[in-house]
Amino acid sequence: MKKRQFNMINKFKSISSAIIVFIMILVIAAMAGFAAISLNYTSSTAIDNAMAYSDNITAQVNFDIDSYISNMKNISDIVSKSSDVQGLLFNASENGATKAKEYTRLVTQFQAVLDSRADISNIAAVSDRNVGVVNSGQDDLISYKQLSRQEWFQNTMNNPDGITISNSHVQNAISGSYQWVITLSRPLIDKSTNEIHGIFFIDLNYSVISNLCNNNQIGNKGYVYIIDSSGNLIYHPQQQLIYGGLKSEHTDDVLNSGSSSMMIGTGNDMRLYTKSSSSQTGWTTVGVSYTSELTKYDEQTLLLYIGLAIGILLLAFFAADYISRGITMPIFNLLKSMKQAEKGEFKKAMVPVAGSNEVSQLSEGFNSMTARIDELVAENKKELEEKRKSELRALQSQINPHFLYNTLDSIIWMAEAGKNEEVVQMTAALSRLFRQGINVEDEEIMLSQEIDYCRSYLLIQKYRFQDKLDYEVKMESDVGNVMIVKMVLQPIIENAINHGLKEKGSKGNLTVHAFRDGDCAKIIIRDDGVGMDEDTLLHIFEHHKVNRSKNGVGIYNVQRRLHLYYGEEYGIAYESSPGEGTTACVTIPMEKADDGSGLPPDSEEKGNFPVQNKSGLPDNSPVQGGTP
Amino acid sequence: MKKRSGKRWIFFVILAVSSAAVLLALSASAKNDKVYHMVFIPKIIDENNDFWVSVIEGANMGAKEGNVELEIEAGPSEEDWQSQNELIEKAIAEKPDAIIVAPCSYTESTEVLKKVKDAGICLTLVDSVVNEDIQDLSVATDNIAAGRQLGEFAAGYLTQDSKVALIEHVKGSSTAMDRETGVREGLGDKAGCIKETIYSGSSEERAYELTKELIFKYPDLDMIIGLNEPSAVGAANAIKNLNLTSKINAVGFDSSLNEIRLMEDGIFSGIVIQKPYNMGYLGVQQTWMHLRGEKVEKNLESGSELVTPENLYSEENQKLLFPFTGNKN
Repeated sequence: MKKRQFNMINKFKSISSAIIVFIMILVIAAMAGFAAISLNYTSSTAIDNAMAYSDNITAQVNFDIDSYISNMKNISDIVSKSSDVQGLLFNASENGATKAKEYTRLVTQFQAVLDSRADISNIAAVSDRNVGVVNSGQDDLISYKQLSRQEWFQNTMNNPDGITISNSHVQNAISGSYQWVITLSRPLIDKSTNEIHGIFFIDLNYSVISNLCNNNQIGNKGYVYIIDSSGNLIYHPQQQLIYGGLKSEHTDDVLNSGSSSMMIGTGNDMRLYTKSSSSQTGWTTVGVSYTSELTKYDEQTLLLYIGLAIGILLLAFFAADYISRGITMPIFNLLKSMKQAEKGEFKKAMVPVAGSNEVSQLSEGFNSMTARIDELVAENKKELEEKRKSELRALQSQINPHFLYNTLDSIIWMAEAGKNEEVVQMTAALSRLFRQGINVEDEEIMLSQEIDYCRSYLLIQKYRFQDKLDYEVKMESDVGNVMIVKMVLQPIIENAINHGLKEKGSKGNLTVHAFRDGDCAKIIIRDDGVGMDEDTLLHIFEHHKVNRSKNGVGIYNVQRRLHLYYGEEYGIAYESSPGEGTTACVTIPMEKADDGSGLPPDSEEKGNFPVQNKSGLPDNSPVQGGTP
Repeated sequence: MKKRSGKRWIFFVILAVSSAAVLLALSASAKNDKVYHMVFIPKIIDENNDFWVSVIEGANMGAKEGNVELEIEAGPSEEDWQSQNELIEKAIAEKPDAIIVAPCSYTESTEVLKKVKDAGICLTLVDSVVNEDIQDLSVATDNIAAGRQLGEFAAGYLTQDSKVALIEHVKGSSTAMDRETGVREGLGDKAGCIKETIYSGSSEERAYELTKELIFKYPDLDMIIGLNEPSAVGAANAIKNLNLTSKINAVGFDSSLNEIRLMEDGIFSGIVIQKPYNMGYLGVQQTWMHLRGEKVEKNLESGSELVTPENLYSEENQKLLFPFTGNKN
């Protein structure tokens, strides 16, 4: 973990974030690319389709108008060339009966046209002498003179040889009628003089055109309009607004444009214009569609894409999260276990293993490793305990043989002197001493027992040293039940006698005092022997020093066992100065923290873990210093 | 673990923000496409009244263009402000986005129109206004200017000694008052020629009868000025029927096929036409823009034109005078 390779992924706090971020970026990029391509595609096809559709519509409208016009032309050809018209209008020599017949035939003809063609509103042939036929003969034509004031009439006269098609206008040829029409007209020539003396006209009902355009709407807002060759409106669905000055139409732009379709305007007002011109009339039909309407679907599609993108993004997020957790969770567990293992809690360090991927294999490996280490630790612990027990056993047998010889010598001496009483007491004390030391299974005994042991020992020593030794043993009653490691006090007392009192010329005093001090029990062993200098005091716990001494159990050994058992804060403390005597203070806890293992926490294993082989064990042999 | 969940938070925030943005965009586009509901209450719905037919056509065009749901209702006559007020009350209850009214009365419509405002509904007045400036928008002919136009034209036919009669439509309607003011301004020093003012109640028959009486009362009458279409047509018909065409000049307001015929017959020497189609269209269209929060002119003029027999068939006037449909008289 601490060693990191430098790459992109390591810039993230965790592998799972890295995975999520990369997957999200990938998804967003893919969605954006996809949306851009398909939107571009749909919008260009939409415009292409609209163009094609608009083309069709304008061509259709043109075709329809052309068919109306060509129809009117046919009628005009038939009527204007008929002999009835010539006769009725211009032949002054005909009699009334003939004229009446001609009139009737023309009226019948006109009536037939009007009946068959709903799109034709007026049909008339009239001479400059106000002779003529209008429709079915029931309408009153205004005078030729009045007629001649109208624009379409003048245009017709300016085009003597052909057919004139007017713009849309109000036809006021019949008095009282004001219809919007488109007029097809031609001059009538008196064949006798070859001069123009009349006019024929046929009116196309304007509503035909407006219906035609209205029925060919493009989309909701799109429309069709018609302009003549000079850009005047023939029809426009919003012509009222255009005439009222509220709207304008791009007639010139459209008319002058070389291409048949063009885009005009910007933004929401962008419009697609397609035009188609008629050869019959010279008019241009223009289809207009709003691109906003075409792209409306684009917006919807875009929104759909964005919605979809968010959905997929969410899915991708959860998927990425799931996958990355699948990878990182076992690693994270492993990491946690590793930390437990570092603390030495191998039982808790087991990693749950699922599946058989690389991480699972790693976890399995880790599990078997910790299991093995756990076994080793247990073995090690057992060995240590064994070692301690054998050490203790050795201690029992370590009672200085000199002590035994000297004691036995003293008993012999007392027996010879007939001091039966003393022999009994001393032998009893010796016997008690050994009995007390026999039990090696229990490492701890009650302090009272340990004190008893000391009493036995001191009693024997008293018999040996007679008047040279005075001792006093005191134990407060509240510490009698305190448990203490065996064979702690006797070596200290032995040390005090052998090194302190024995070398003193005069009588020596030794006191043992056990009492409670807060959470601790203290046993003070004081002698008024020769004392120690500072240097000796400093090295008293070093076992090589002990090795040199004559007595068996080193103070080092005692101290080590106390530390081992109760922790570093407990043990022996010495105070001494040369000539002043020595005070040893043994401190043990009132109640030992029971961890069940017999090993206090933070025991000597600390820092030596995990692998501790036999060569790493402390090399001080339990059997030490016992040899004389 | 904390760092991981922190990262996750950021992702959630990003996702939440983007979702919110999409929702906003959706609702914004929905707002743009909002279909507004408007109620239009003209003075009258009468297919023989070209003026109001045209206004309604224009309104419908405006509604179509703005995708507005437009409801049109009117009382039985132009004078009947009580019925109109009831209709306005009814419209308020419907809670539309806007109510567009051509108020019948300059004074009697005010109170009920205030209720429209109080209900938080956008109020647009067309054609006429009321005695208090309460509307959100108004679209109307500048009747004073139109009256002045007619007055100036009429003055050309008059001398200081001429006798003129005014036929107004409804006493107390803003259009009548403004037009009279305008006509008097236009006549200038000949305003004193006005000998009599009568009220037709916007009825052609009544105008006809009253004109006949008037002609008997003033045999040397030189001119009759009709301040709206029925008044002018009624007066002109009376002149025609009494064969006084050459003696009495008629001028008037508004256009109708009747008026055009009478002009062709030489009875009307001039009429001032409004632009009713524009009025109706602008009434709806401006209201729509206002509702969408766009800036519009509060009191919009829809314009007027003077038409004489000489320019009757000019291309521009043709298009203003003759409706494109429904004219097979």
